[in-house]
Amino acid sequence: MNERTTLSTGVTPRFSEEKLQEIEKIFQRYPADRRQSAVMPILHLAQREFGGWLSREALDYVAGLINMPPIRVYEVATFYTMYNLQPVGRYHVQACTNISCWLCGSDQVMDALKNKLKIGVGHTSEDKRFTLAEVECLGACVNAPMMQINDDYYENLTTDKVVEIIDRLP
Amino acid sequence: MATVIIDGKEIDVKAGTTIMEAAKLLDIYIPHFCYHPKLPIAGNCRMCLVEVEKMPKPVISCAMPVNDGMVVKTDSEMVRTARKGVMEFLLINHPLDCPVCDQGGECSLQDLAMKYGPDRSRFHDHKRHVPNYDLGPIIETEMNRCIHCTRCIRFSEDVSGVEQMGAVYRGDHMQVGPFVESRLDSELTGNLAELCPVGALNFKPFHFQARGWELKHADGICSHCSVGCHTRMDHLDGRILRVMSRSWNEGNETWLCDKGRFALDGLANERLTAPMVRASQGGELKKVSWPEALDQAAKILKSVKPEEVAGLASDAVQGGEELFAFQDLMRNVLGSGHIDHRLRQRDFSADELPLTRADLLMNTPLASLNGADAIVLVGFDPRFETPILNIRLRRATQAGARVVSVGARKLNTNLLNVTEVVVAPGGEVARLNAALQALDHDEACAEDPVAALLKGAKKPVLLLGEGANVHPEAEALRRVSVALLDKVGGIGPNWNGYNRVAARANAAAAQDLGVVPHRGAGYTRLERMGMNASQILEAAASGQVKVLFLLGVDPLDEALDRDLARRALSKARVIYLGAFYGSAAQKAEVVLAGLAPGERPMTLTNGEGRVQRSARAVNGPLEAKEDWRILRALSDRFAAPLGYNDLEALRKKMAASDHRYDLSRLGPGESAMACDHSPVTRGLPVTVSAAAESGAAMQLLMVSSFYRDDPVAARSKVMGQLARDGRLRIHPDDASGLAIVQDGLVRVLSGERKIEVRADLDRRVPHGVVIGDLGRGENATRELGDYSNGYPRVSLVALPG
Ligand code: SF4
Ligand code: SF4
Ligand code: FES
Ligand code: FES
Repeated sequence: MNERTTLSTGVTPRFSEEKLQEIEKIFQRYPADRRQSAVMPILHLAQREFGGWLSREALDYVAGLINMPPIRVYEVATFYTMYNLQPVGRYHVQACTNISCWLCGSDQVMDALKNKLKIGVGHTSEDKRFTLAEVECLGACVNAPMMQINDDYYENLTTDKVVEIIDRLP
Repeated sequence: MATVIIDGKEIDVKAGTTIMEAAKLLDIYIPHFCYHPKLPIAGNCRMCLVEVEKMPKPVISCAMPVNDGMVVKTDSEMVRTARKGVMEFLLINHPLDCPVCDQGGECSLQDLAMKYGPDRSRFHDHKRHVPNYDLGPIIETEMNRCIHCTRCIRFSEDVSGVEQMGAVYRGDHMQVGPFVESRLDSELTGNLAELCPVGALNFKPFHFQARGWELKHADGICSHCSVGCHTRMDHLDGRILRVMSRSWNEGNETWLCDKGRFALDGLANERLTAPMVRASQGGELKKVSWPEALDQAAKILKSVKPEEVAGLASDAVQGGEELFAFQDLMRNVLGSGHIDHRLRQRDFSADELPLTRADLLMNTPLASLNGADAIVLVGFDPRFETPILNIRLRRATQAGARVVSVGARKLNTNLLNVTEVVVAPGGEVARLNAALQALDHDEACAEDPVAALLKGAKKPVLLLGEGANVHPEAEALRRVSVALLDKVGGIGPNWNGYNRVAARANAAAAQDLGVVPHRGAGYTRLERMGMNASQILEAAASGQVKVLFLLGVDPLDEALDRDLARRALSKARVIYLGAFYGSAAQKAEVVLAGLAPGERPMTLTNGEGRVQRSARAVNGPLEAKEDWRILRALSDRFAAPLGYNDLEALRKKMAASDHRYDLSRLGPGESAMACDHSPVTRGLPVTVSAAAESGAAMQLLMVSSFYRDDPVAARSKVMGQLARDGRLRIHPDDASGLAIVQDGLVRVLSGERKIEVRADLDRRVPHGVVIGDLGRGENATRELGDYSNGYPRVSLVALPG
């Protein structure tokens, strides 16, 4: 993935009233003079709300909500790999290649994914359905190898199973 | 207290001192990159590792506090090995492009790599490559060289208060910078390049100009505002190329503002290189020899009666030497008492009073401002009048002090806990008077922001800025300020919080040395008061004053009323002594080419009243001469010439008339004297005029543009890039009512006078007010100014284009 900068869409997204209330609740989890602590859950919410990734405008919008300088939000958003700073497809396919999964055959899983989706790691398919990512241990080593698609874990993978799972996606 | 032994030397230090600082006290150098004495500790470069007995691993000395009985070794085998390891890692991603790096020769990394670096690399992978940013006209970036010490980030966050620098991504992907390209929105950006230990952040104006080791240095005092920061002028082949800070704990610590650092390119523009004389009215200026020029000047001065001569001097570019010699010449050689430097002041009523230094200057030392717990700003924009003083105030607010700013506009401030009390232009006096009354009644006091802040404050400070000094009722404002502070015990022998801060670098010297019509040098009373700046211009315009002697000042670009200045200059015969071929020289009959700051030794007295000496760095152009010597030579053509032939004799004479200019009286370690804490004139009656009425028309508030405020800065290209001058600021709501758009052309009319400027929509401008920079040249706002009318009513017409 291009790590150099954030993408600007030119449009500032906005949370709905309902989500703004949710954000108020998030703020309440932290002491009143530590509102900035809420940056991570709010970024997370923003990513969910605004199409699975965070544009520069989304980051600036969050910075404004929390009243912290934009650069401090950029620092957080770039530090954690789970904030996507580039558009992702409808399905964000994240295959674990960390040690347990690797020992149990994540290389084959990855190859199967690349073949099936016809894209490389870090890329998004032309129809914008899939983005393929390589991730570190997701804590499901007992059932390695595994992958995560959006919010769901798929475990004990084989090359066939991978193809089947992808095919079954709506 | 804790006793530690470092490299066999014992020292007692306060508990909590770090090993690094204790070592510094012992003059033991510990290599470091991220440690900076004036910034919060980060502890991330690991270069400062030392060995502490009984600790199994080396520790970072910059963050480790000492313990009683600690035994530290800064140069053991363990330490050297550790440092070598750290250095090898630092160099892994470093481009090692010293030959093309501005920092080469004065780089901590280069120096320490010579000592601890490996002679070849064991790293075979690709070095990382990170993006550069355009951070504005002051900073050039080469971020591949960055070693992630985070000094620049900590400075931005802690000192400048403009959080734009950061570290994005992590591990070996970490990048330092603003991430999203943006110009740094700060008046202190030059410090980033100075404190970057490597060549990642460089000075753009100095980029590829010289190598560090070729430069010669001279110790200077900044002449761009009244803080008087300590500088080091780095010069090569007769040109000052760069200004660095000199560490001065009581003042600028290790910082300088961008104006102080990079206005210097203005020194090279429009310079006078030789004396010139105009043969006939309207004729051309012709270069002549010095004797001819001086003869001609003397002839003009002798052709009129003494009281038909008047002198105006600049408080921005002239040293104490010139100012003293000028008033000496005017009074004692030419016999005229008409002399002034206050071309922007409107209210001269205080001239009748025996005001002292304590009334006119600051009484709280810069270093003590950090300790203030309540800060009242009156017509003062500290960030853009005296940036380094503002750092002190910011430190106070970081420690919890609260601020109330009383003025006719909102500030672009980086202070914390600020309450802005915006009054109609001119309404400051009434506002402060209300606070004064409120102090007597608990209820009213709680409701009045100024009174509430001052009540109960232990160390209150009140600072009058340029907006107060040029206020149409400046003296009333000053008095009510004194009364207010006095009432809450803010003026006493142990704490004196009353401060009048002049913006100009040498305004204090001009006051001390008698470049005013009502006092002689050293605050001596005069038999007869001369004319003040506004009267001098009036008298010149009406023909009562026949000869204007100008010392470094261009009245067209300095006086509040440009129209009056124009009439004065065309009617009177003008002798101009100064460094620049500006609007005054263009009108003058005799032009005497003087020198500029950096080219002559200068005495500068800062806002605190501290008398400081700036050295000469380079020679002036061609035949230009030191200003006071020109005055001295001119005086030879009169009956009683000035009584000093060298700098030392002149300085002796200055010291004799004002003992504060006798620097030999200072004790060891004292850098110079601040203001003595004599009580100010207290108990004077407070007068309040009727509250400013508000009408239908807009009121024009004139402020000076920070980056253009003196003759050198006004000619600087770099400052031109920083300043957004020449614009008329107006609230967007007011603008839309008048169909004025951002950057649109606007005609501003006041009576007969008019100018055309571009608009700048700014929410900080109060409704019903427009703010213009005083400005220079045609279409400057000062065209509409007038000494008797503080805030002209103007009407605005949006023009096409
Ligand atoms: S740019 Fe310079 S000051 Fe900033 S982190 Fe890098 S090396 Fe340190
Ligand atoms: S704060 Fe004033 S004295 Fe200091 S560097 Fe800036 S202009 Fe010069
Ligand atoms: S290694 Fe893949 S889930 Fe832990
Ligand atoms: S100076 Fe101590 S870790 Fe950088």
